[in-house]
Amino acid sequence: MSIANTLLGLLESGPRHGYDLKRAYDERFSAERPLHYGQVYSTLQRLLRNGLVSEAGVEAGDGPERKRYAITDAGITDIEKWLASPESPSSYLQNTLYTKVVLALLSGRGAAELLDTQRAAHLAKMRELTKRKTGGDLADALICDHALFHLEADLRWLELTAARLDELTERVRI
Amino acid sequence: MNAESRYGARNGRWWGDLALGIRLAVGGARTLRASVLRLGLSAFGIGLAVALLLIAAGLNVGLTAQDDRSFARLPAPATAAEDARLYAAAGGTTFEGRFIEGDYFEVTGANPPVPPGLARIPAPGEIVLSPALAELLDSPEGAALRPRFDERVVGTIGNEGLTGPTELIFYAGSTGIAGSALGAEVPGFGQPQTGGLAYGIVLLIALGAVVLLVPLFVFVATSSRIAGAERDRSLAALRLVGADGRQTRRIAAAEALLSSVVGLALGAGLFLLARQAAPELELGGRSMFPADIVPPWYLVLLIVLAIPLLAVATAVFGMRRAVIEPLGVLRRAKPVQRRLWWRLGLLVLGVGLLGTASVQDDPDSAVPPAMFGAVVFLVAVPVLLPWVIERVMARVRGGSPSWQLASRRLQLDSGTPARVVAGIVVVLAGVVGLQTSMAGLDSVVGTSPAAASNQDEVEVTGYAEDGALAERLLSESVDVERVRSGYDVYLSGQHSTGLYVADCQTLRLEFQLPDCRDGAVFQVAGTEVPAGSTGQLVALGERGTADSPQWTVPESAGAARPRDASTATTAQLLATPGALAGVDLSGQARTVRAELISPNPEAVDRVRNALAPLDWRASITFGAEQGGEDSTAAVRAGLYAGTGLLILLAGVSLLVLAIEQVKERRRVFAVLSASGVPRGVLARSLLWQNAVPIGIGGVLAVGTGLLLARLVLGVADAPMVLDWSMLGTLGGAAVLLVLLVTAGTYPALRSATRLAALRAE
Amino acid sequence: MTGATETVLEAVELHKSFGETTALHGASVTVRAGEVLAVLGPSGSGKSTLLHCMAGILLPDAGTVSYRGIDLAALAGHRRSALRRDEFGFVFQFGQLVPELSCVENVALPLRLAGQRRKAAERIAREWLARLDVDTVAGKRPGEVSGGQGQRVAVARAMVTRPKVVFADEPTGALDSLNSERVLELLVAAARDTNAAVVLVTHETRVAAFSDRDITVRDGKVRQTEFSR
Repeated sequence: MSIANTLLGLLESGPRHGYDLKRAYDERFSAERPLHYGQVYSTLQRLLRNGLVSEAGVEAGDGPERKRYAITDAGITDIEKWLASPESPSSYLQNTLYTKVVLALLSGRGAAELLDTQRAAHLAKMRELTKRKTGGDLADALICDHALFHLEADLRWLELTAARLDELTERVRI
Repeated sequence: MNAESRYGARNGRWWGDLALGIRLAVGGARTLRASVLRLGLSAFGIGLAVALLLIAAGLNVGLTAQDDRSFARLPAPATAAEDARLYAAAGGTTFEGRFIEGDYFEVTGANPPVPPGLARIPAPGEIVLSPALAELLDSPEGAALRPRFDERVVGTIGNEGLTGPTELIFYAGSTGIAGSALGAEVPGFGQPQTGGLAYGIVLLIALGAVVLLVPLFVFVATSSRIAGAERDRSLAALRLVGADGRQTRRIAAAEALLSSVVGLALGAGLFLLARQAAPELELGGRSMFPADIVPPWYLVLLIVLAIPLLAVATAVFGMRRAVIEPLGVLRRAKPVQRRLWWRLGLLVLGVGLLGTASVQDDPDSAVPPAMFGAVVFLVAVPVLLPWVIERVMARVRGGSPSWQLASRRLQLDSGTPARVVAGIVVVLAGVVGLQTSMAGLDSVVGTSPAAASNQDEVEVTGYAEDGALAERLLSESVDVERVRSGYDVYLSGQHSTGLYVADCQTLRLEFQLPDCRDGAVFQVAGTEVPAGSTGQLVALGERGTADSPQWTVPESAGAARPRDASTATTAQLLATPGALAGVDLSGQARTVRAELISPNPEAVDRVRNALAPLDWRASITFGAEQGGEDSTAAVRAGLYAGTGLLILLAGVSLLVLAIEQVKERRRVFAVLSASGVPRGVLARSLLWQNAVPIGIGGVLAVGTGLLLARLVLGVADAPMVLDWSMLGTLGGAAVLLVLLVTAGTYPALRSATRLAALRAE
Repeated sequence: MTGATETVLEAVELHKSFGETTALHGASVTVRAGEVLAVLGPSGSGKSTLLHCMAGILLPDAGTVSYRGIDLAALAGHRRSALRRDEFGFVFQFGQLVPELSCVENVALPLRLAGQRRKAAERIAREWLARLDVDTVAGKRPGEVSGGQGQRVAVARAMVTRPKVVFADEPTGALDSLNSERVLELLVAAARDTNAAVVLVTHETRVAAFSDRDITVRDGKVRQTEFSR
C-alpha cells in the first residue's frame, strides 16, 4: 500500500494541513509507528507535482505557517481507480485491504463492492492453486494448502471487517 | 452432615431432574409450538381415556341407581293380611317402536300406597305423565299419540320415580280394576332387588368391562410415548453428556407426569361436559340423569393415581434403550433384537389364569381369575406386537420403492408403528374375543325364540264386554282387513289344558282340520289330554269355583295339526261353539285377532289409537312389533356402543400418532421430494407403513381374540361358534381405517414436502 | 474448460418473496453445460432460494427459469418432479439420505423411481459407490457411516442418474477440511466425466475454488464477476 494513496483518500473528505493529515493517518492506520512529518511533506510534494492535490491557501497562525492541501479531480479519479482495483493476492495483505475498506467507508462508497472485487481476484488465484494441487504431488499440495488457507483467511478477515464497519457506519448514521 | 440435610440435598436434585424434564417437555422439540403440540397430543389422548374411564365408573353407579329406582316403583307382592286399598292394571302401549310404560290405578281404601315420584294416586279420568312423555305429547311428533291419552293431565312424575330423563311412563286413574281379572291388589311399592343374571351373562359383562377398559390403558401408555423416537434421542443426548441412568429416567418421568396431569384435568373437564350431555343420550331406551353419573370416590382416586403412574411407567420402561445404548439411539443404529420370553410369558400367564377359571365349578370363584386372565391376555397383545412385526418384517427384501421405504422403516423401528396400532389391535382382539364368546354363550344361555305370530296380525284379549268392544273397534278400523274372534278358556281338571273356542273358519286359519262342522272338537297333535277327560271351564289363570261349568272332552274329538310355525294359539284343545252349547262363555277371555291390510308403523299406531278406549281392559299384541326378548341383547347393545366409542378413539389416536410420525421425518420427506421423488410414492409408503402393522396386528388380534373366546367359553362350558361375517366386517373396518388415517396424514405430508421445509433447516 | 458451450439452465430476472422478506430481487444466472459454477454470498443473501428456484423446487414469483429451453414454471408438478429426478442431481449439507435404507439402496432409489429393476439399479449404485470410494459401506445405514462417507454416498446418489445439472447446497458444510476436499474433488471429477454442470452454493471461498466460474448473490441480486474464466 502506498502512503500517497492513503493521504489522497484522507484529503477526499476535505482540505487539510500537512500536520492534520499526519494526525489523521496516525490515528486511523498507524498508531504504533507514527508517520514522520518529513515523509508526509515529501509525499505531498510528489502529489502536488503529479497534479493530484493542490495548495488551498496558507493559514497564518501562532506557529509556523501552514499550507492547506486539497484533492483535485485527477486525485479523485486516481483514488477511485485504486479502490476499485484488487490487490494482487498474496499473503499479509491486511494493511492495504484495511486501509481500503476504511477509506471506502469514509468516502461513503461502501465496502461490498470492494469486497466482491477482491474476492473475485482472490478466488482466481485460489482456483489456480486448487488446480495445481489436484495435479501435483504431496509437496505441491502442502505448499498450495498453505497459500490457500492464507488467502482464505485474508478474505474472511476482510468480510468480517467489512461487516463490522458496515454495522459501525449504521450506528454512526443513526 | 446429618441425615436430614442429606435427604434434603437429594430431594433438591430430584426436583432439579423433574424440572429439567418439564423444561424438555415444553421446549424440547425444534420449536416451542411443536413441543406444546406434542404435549397437547399426549394430554389429549390421556384425557380422552380418563374421561371414558370416569364415565365407565360413573355409569356403573348410574345403572345401579336406575335399577334401585325401577325396583322401588314395582308393586310389592300381595299380602292377604291387610285390607285392599289399591288395585293396579298394566296399560302400557307402544308408539313408533318405543314402549310407553303405564299403570292404571283404582283406589279402594283409605291411604292407598303411592308409587315414588307421585304426590297422590290420580283419580279416575286423571293422568300423571313423565316429563319426556308430556313433552312428546306436546310436540308435533306426538300428535298421532294424543288420541290415546284423553285423560286430564294433573301432574308430572318426579325424578325419583323415573329411571332416566327420557323415560316414557304414565300413571292413570280408572275404575273397575278391582273386579277385573286383569287387575291386581297392590299393598305397597318397592320390591327387593333380584340379581338373577345367568352365569354366562355375568361372565360376558365382566369380559366386556375388561375388553373396554384394557384398550383405555393401552391408549394412556401409547399417548405418553407420542414422538417417542425424537424424545429417545434427546434423552440419549442427555445421557451422553453425563446424566446417569436414574436421572435420565426421572427426566423422562417428568414429561410423562406433566402430560398425564394435564390429561387428567382435560379428562375431568370432558367427563363433566359428557355428564351434562347425558340426558340427551339414549341407549337401548335408557338414559341417565347427570346426578346419577357420579363415580365413587375410590374409583376416582384409583384413576387419578393409576393414570400418571401408568404413563410414567411406560415412559420410563419405553426409554430403556436410550439408557442402555444412548449412542445407538443417537446414531439411529439398528436396535438390538427384541426378546420374546417375557412377552410370551404374559400370554401364557393369561392362558393359565383362564384355564384355572375353567376348572372351577363355582361361578363366583371362576369370575375373578377369568377377568384377571382376560386382562393379562389382552395386555399381552400390544406387548407381543412389536416382536411379531420385527420378526415378520426381518425377512422382507426388495419390492417397489414405496414398499422398500416402508419396510425398511418398519425394520429399523418396529416399536413406533407397533405403538401406533396397539390401541386398535387390542380393541380388535377384544371385540373378536367378545363377539365370539357372545355367539357361543347365546347358544347356552339361549334366547327365547321370537314368539311366532303373523306379522300382519294384531291380537287383543279382553274379558266379557271388553272382548266384544275390542271386536267392534277392530271391525270399524279402516286398517283392518278381517277380524276373527274366539274364546280362550282353561280346562281345569286332572289333565289341565287350554281350550280354544272358535268357528270352523277361524280354526282352519291356523290348523289343518280333517272335517269341521259346528259342534266338532279337536285335539292338537301331541296333546296329552285323552278323550273323556273332565274338568271345569274357567278363565285363564283363575281357579274354578263350585259354579264353574263342567265339560268333558268328547270321544269324537278329531285330530288337528298346526298349519305352520306361525300358529299362535297354544291351546291343545279346539272346539267349535256348538260343542259348548249351554255353557256361558260371556265372562271368559275373548281373543280377537285382526289382520291388518298393511302392517306399517303408521297403521299400527292408528289401530292402537282405535283401541285406546280399552285402556287397561285388554292386552294388545301386534305381530309386527313382537321381537324375541334376547337375554343378552341389552348387554350386547352396551358393548356395541362401547366398542364403537373405542374404535373411534383408536382411530383418532392412530391418526394423531401417524401425523406425528410424518412431522418427525419431515426433513427426509422434503429432501426426497426436492430430488424428484413423486409425492405419490411417499404417500404410498405411508400407506404401507400403516397397513402392514395393522394387517399384522389384525391377524394377531383375530388369533388371540379367538383363543380368548375359546378359553372364556371353556370357563362357561359352551361351544365355539365362528362368526365369519363379524370377522369380515372387522377386516373391512381395519382396511377403511388404514385408508382414512393415511388420507388424514396427507396434509401433513403435503406440508412436509412443500419444500419450504428445506429452508427451515 | 472449452469456450462457447451451450447454456443448459438459464434464470432470468427472478423475484421471490416469503411473506414480508424478499429473498430474490431480479436475479439472473446462466449455467453452461459441464461447468462448475460457484454461487457465493453471505447468509441470508438468497443464494439457497436461488438454487431452489433454478432447480424447480420453488417457483419464482416473477421471472423465468428454463432448462434447455423448457420453461420450468410451465411444467405440471409431477413433470417437474420427474425432471428433477432424471436431469438434476442434488447434494445437501446433511439429512438427505433416507435413514432406514442402506447406502446402496439410497443410491439406487432414483433409478428405481425411474422404473429400473432393483438388481440392475443396485448394480449401478454399487459402481458409483466404488467410484466415490465408499463401496465398503454399501450395506450399512447412513447412521452407521461417517459424515464424509455419508456425503460421498449422497454424491453417488446425485450422480447415479447421470444428471445434466448437479445442485450442491453447502455440500461440505458439516465436514472437516480434508473430507470436504475429498468430497469436492470426487464431485467435480464425476461431474466432468459425465459432462454435468454443477451449481455449487457455498459461503467458503476454498470450496468455491473448485469452480470454473463464480457469481455472488447480494441482497437478492446476482453480481457476475470478471475474474472467472
